[in-house]
Amino acid sequence: MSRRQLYGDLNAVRALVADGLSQLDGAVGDLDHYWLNSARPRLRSVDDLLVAAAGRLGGWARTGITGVVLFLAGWATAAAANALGFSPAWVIVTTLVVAVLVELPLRGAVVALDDALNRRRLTPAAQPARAVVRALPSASGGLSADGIAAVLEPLLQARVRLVSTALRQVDSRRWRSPYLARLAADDARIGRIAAADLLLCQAIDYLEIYVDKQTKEPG
Amino acid sequence: MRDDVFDGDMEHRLRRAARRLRTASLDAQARDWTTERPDRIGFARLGQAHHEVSTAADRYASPPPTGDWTATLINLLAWAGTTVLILLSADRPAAPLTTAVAIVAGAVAAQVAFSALQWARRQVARRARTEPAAIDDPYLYTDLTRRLEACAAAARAEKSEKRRAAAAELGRALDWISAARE
Repeated sequence: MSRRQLYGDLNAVRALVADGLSQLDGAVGDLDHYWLNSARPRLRSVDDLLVAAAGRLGGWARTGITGVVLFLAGWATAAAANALGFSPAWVIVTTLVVAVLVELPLRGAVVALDDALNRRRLTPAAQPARAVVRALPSASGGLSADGIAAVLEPLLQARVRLVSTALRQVDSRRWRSPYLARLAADDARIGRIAAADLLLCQAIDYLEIYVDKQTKEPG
Repeated sequence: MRDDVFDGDMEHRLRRAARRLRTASLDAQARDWTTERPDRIGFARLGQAHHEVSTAADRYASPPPTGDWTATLINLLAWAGTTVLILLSADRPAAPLTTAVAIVAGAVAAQVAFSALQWARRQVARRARTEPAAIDDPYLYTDLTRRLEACAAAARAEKSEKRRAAAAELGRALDWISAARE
């Protein structure tokens, strides 16, 4: 599957989520509404996960970068130790220690590089797909039924689109649940999409619980 | 799986429960994606319970750097094994080039081992037969509820305030588990 299409799909989902989030932000001001306020941070994290899902550096690319740096560091250390007149055993020990010391911060640096690359590929900040119509707060200060519908609609669309984005990454002959569950556990991209999907579904669930409570006890 | 609910120390009991919740949640999510068992609520709630239980476990011990011990172990063994082999078989192991090559070869071997493990696991998953969904198994809920209630009771009796806070999280996890059952 082409990368361009993946980026397009991810950006579309991010726009829909940003849309729902801005509707929610416009309508909820106070902190009384537990369910609404639990939904918001989840929607925010969805965006970060989707950016990470663009994932350009695979395991082999990371190993390549690490390998080059480790080779240079190891070679330089061993040469310096030899020049200082260390015995062969000490040369090897020093080199291994330096390699471990270089390797640990290097991992963090590669992850940061990955993040920077991802942010460049996707649009910088997700923009709402359409102009925000501020849902009017209901008398109780929460969201009215119409307001909730305006939030839920883009989120449900985003969810459908996110699932098809994930499935497009997998050969359609292998769309079976044990295989997909395995990918969600160990594939970097599908795993992040699955985590984003989980948060999105939790947010939708919260909003629906909120609607449920509102209709049961009006006012 | 051992049956005694008081078996092992708190952290391990909680991590075990968290792993079961995560497996059930991922499985239900994959079944929702394939529309084999469409349900976007149940797995979200189990995922919520998993989050609460692992937060509670983190109060007992700091979270492990990796959840995947098999992969970590295989990586380390491949790395160490390759490096040592090259150094032992070389004529002048302390020559700068030999040492550097041995270290880099270790890194490549670790990546090869990791990719092989991943490939093998995916082959197993590809051939796996579809079993009944864990999320539909009533025993999962009764068993986890029983275990987590025991953990919550133990957490409430803890001396340290930080650990007592785990009881609140376990309470929320129990709420989510019973909500997922609906």
